[in-house]
Amino acid sequence: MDEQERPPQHQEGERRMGGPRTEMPSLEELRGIAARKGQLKGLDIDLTMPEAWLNQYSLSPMFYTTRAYFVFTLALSSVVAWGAACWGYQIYVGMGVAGLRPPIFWGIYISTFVFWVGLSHSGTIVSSLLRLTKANWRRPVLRGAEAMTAFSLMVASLFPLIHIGRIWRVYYMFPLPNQRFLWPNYRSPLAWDMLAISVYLTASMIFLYTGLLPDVALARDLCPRGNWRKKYLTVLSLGWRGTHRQWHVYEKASTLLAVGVLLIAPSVHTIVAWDFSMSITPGWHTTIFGPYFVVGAIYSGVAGVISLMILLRWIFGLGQIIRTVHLYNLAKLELVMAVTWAYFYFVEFMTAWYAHNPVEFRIWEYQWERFPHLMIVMLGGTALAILMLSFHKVRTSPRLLFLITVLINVGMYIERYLIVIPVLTHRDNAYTWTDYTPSFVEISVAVGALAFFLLLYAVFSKLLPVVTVADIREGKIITGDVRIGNREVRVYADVEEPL
Amino acid sequence: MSHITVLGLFNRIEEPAAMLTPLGEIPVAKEDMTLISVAPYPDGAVLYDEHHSPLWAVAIVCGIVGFFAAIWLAGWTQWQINLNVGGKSTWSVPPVAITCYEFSLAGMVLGTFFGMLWYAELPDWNELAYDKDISRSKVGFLVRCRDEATAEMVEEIMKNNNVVRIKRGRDDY
Amino acid sequence: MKSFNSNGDGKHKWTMVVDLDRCNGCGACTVACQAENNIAVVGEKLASEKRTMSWLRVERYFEGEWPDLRVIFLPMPCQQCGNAPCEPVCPVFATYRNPDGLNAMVYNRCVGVRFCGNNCPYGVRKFNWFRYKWEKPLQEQLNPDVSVREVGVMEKCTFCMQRIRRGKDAAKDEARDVRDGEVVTACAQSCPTGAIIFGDVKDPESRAAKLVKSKRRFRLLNEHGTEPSVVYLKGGA
Repeated sequence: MDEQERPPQHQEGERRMGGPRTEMPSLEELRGIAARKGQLKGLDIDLTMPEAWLNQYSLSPMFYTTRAYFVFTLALSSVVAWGAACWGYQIYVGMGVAGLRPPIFWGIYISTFVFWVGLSHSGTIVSSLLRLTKANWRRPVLRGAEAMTAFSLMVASLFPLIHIGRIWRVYYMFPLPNQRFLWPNYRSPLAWDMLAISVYLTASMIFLYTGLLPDVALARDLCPRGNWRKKYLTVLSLGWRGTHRQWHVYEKASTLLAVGVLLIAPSVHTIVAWDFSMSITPGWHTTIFGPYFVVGAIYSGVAGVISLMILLRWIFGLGQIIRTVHLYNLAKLELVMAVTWAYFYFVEFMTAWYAHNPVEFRIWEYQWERFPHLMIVMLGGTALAILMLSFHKVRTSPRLLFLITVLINVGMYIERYLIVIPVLTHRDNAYTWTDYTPSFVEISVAVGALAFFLLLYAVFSKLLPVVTVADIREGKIITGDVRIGNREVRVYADVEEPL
Repeated sequence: MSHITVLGLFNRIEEPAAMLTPLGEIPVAKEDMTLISVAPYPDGAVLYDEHHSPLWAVAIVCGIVGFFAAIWLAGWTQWQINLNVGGKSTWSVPPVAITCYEFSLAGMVLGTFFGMLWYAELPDWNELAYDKDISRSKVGFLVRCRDEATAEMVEEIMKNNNVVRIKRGRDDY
Repeated sequence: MKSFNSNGDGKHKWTMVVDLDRCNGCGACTVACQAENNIAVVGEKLASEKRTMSWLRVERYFEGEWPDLRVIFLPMPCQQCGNAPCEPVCPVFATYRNPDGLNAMVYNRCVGVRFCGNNCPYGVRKFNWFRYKWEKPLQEQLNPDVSVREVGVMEKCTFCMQRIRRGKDAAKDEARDVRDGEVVTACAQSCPTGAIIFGDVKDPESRAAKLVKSKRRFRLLNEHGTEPSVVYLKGGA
């Protein structure tokens, strides 16, 4: 075994002791290389990266742990603990600790729920679309996007539980056989919602796990002797060897799973939209809500994927794998979504404003009177996103992209808030008009949820490979450089497999 | 019936690819050879996958099972509880349709996953012919031989084709 | 097929008629309802947060500018809608329409998702935000015919379901039909001006059945197609 093939931990030790130059460059050095290279010449797969480097580099987030990581995780855990304590307090005392009051029965728990479900969308949609279209730049993006889906969906599925009045009776909502034949009411959009969320959670976990299988096997093999990860990696890898037959079945399965997930994802957010639009409440009862929510979800989700990719680059120094070209391509996708989203804003507000339905118009006015700042951030954020993402310079600058994508998601959170709250504060019956301010408990739980999501991702990054190594390798296998006249161009082999 | 398996590790995919003709002359059947690699090589790079694994059929069958499970769940329970809610009919179609859609896809996804495990013969935690160096981008070529003499001939051919290391084992794949 | 409709036999359609021209906004109905139905008294702080539990409220609307002011009072109980929007959205069948035309609420089945409250255009559904207590000796005045609701469940006006039950039981014991005026809700009973009339419109001779044919009748937010069972009368007589 030569120097380059040592497991990551040995490598780290030697680097500190000033080992020979044949070793893998340090993360800082690699980050420097990544920053210096222009990288936007269509070279999405670094053919020059040696195989052994690729292994160590991709698995480095798993095996190198800095002190900052522990500090960060501890901080996140305490925020999560605080949020959980607030939830416990709410269960103990009653829903009254939330800022809700009749007729505002849904508050930021529901808007946060919609936000997280939305964020979970593009993970699978992006990942499965790119898989199905065999886009070659997809490879480093997949794992991050799929994990984001799974984790944000886990966070989202907490919110209906946090929100309900009698959590100890939650099983009434499940179709559990019982003596009295009391089944859930499938006419209720909430029953559909539960169903859709659980199906989506199952499917996205399976999608994530299937993608992980070869990489878990890789990590199992490269895991240093005596490392505590070895045991669960062995179990999770299911004895994967990578025989030709296994790969063949695996590729068929990932295509089929991509199709399945791609069909589930839009239906889930449509059903979440139906939680609102199947009611008779003016402002909610609108046919546009289904597609509106789906587009909003993808818009917010792609932004989430971009932010997360940039964070992974910064925190784990993965700039050689998640390269600027990937961010650039995702940013182009996000630009398309932003324009579509702006169109939906236009359609939604235009109909409310022009038709002048008294109740809907009152809600529209109230939004501007009560939340002018939020409206400006929401609408201005989208306008700014379109404007900024149109520039090549912005699309290739991780820093600016990070700012914009975070702004987009702040705007999308506000958007969900403005969907839920003003409609409820201004109902048909003017006598009930009132105002809503989220209570301390509600805000704590919502912040705790964000911390929980980040914590899940942070823990995941230490337990399982955060980069789709096998997919990147496959990319390297089917990629080559070809000279056309005086110019060298990159080509990808077309190895479409019939199912 | 126990076999002798010979696992050769190669640096490049072209080396096992070149071995097919000499191996065929021993003779070793195509079914007794397999490629083990850390990343998927296109079908036919060395061998074609001759196994019949109609995963799509499994997926569709499971989807149909999911569809009927949903009719049973949403339809039968609706019929069980015959209550008037908001003037909706006793057996309303939209909830059943929505449930059917979700359950069909859930069935399809679960079917695909378990079908994949079935056809890929997973999970299998037994010590099968394998080498950790495959994860370091060595290409493994596994040949199942009927007897010792064949195994030695296979090893000879592997040595002629720049094999890095040869591993013997007694197992099936 | 199981029938869960033990709460009615379909022989009645209970209806409330509220004569707005007679209502003077005294609020006796609200108090009577509070006492009859074990409705929690939430105290000053929660009331100021609009978290009162009253099932029946008297809404005040003002016409004109001070001093030319005219106040309109509108008692608002649950409208017991024929096509109740609150019912189909409940994921656990905690609320449904019984054959007597009442919008029943099963407290023990409720998990508290509160979609029904969001979907009610009248805003008459109340939620148990806290564990409300009756301080001694107030627990002695609780009505034994009505359950005390747990934290985390929805509740609303039942048209004094317990009184309907009692009236029907008495009629059954004597093997006759329920007489008009035999079943009176607490609010109708306590209204000093007789603005609230309760009765069965399937009985053509009942007062309510005659009043719902009045030319002064209207129903609230009828454009939603909810078919309320509460009919209001307005516009002189």
